[in-house]
Amino acid sequence: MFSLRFTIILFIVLGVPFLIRYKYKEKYEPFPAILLPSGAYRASVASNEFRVNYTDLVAQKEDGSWDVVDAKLLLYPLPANNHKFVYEREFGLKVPAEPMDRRFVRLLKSLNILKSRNWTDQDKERTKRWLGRRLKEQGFTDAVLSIVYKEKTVSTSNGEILSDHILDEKVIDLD
Amino acid sequence: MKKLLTWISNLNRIFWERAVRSTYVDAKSLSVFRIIAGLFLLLAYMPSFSWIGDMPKTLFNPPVLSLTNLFDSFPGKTFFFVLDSLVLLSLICLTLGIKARISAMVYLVVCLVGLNFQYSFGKISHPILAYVMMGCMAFSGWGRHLAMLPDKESKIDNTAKSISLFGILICFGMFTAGFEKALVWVDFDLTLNGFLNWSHNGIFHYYKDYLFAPYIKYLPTALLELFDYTAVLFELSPLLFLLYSKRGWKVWLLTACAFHLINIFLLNIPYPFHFIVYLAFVDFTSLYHKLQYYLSLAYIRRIATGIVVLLILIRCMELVFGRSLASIFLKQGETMSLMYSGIVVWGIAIALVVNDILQEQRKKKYQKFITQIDTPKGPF
Repeated sequence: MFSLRFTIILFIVLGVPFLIRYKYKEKYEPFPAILLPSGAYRASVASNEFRVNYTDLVAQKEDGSWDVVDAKLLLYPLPANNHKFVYEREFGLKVPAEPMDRRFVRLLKSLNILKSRNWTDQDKERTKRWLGRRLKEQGFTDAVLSIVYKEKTVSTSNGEILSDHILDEKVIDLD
Repeated sequence: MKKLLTWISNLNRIFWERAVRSTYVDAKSLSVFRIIAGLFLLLAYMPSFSWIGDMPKTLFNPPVLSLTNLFDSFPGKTFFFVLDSLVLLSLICLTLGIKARISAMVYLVVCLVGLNFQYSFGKISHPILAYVMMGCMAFSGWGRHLAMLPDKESKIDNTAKSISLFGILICFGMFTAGFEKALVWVDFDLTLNGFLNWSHNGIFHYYKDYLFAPYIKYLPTALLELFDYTAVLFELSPLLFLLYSKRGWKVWLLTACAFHLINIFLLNIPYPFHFIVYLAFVDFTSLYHKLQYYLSLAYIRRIATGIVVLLILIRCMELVFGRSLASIFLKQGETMSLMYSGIVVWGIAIALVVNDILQEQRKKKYQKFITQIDTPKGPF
């Protein structure tokens, strides 16, 4: 049978990542670790409305009109559950913000675990060309791409969109 | 102090003895499971990482506590091509039983490296138990039978330890999902509901409104609340079932398969990866004897070889051309196909676990009957 020492080590190895995720949520979730998703959120039963935050990518067509880009196709084959993170960093073209000066972050930085990556202009140029090429494949120009953060309120009884408004917008110049 | 240590030590012994008693299946059964798991991965869910090499460097944003944080960017295409080739090679060896122990370890290490890079776009997914299974099974002796190049008996192989450890790891994984749910969902508040949040989010955010998903809104509030508590109970209880008895553990496994099937119907979430997690505990010994017999027949051997060779060819073509053959037949992201394949997968899993429970019951009855015959009833 497994020794007591093995059992103790096993539970430390399993428990530490769990405690880190419990304390810091997904922000510092370690990998690899034996952690399954919890999704512990709640919705109001009485309410006939449900709020959804979503993001649209918008680009300009050849005729000058603006339209929504098929994000799945644009970033294919990147799994769609990564899109949110890619948009947050504006495809890595944004200058990364310095993390908040908290004790845990300071410790990670001093151990060289947490790094702020500043991409070279050449890398950024490559990403812009990559995005431009893929936008053209969808019939858009390769000049500009806009990330539009939106919030819609949907009727839970019939799926009708009750309101839809823009929360924020980031325009990326691809030229 | 000494007394306390002895008590803890005894507790540890009882804990693992119970875990072994509930989870034990022999190496012959595991050899059948090895073939099932290998074919399942080769056929349907072979991990692929080559696409990462084509993505722009600037998308590299590894999680803070990940091995890839040691890298400055994604490695080149060749690196990921080598990873995919090793995944394919290790799966072929695993299925055919060519040094299955080392093949499983290669598969595990390569996949963990690949997944580290895959999760460097920002999102960590959670199919970890399917990979942990490989790590535990590598030392279970599953490569000693039904194998082209069997593993030799080794000191590091221990079927009981491997399978019981895997059982405990599943219990812990479930606990990590259930603990936070318990804190939020067990609220005795009928106005807020966790299950409903999953449902609304699936329908209105991800447009998953297939099968019975659109009808959840008609369910009574009390039933929705019951769903919340049931989910928490299901995720927090596996260790209790495992420590209780072998039958208890099998009943929990059956509940788990049913849980995934219900999730497909109600929330449109197929989670087929766990198929190879739960089936490790099913006793395939009778199938082992049948397989052994059939594989001794030349024409069956030829058909089996043909199927495996075809699968290998398809996967090799995908590797070289960098395109999934399934994408020719299925539209990109076709949700309904995923749902139907999920229903089939979990339907098969339920049938196998039920059959296993019934077989065990029959075996017990038979043993009881034999004992009754053997026991002398009177002085004559």
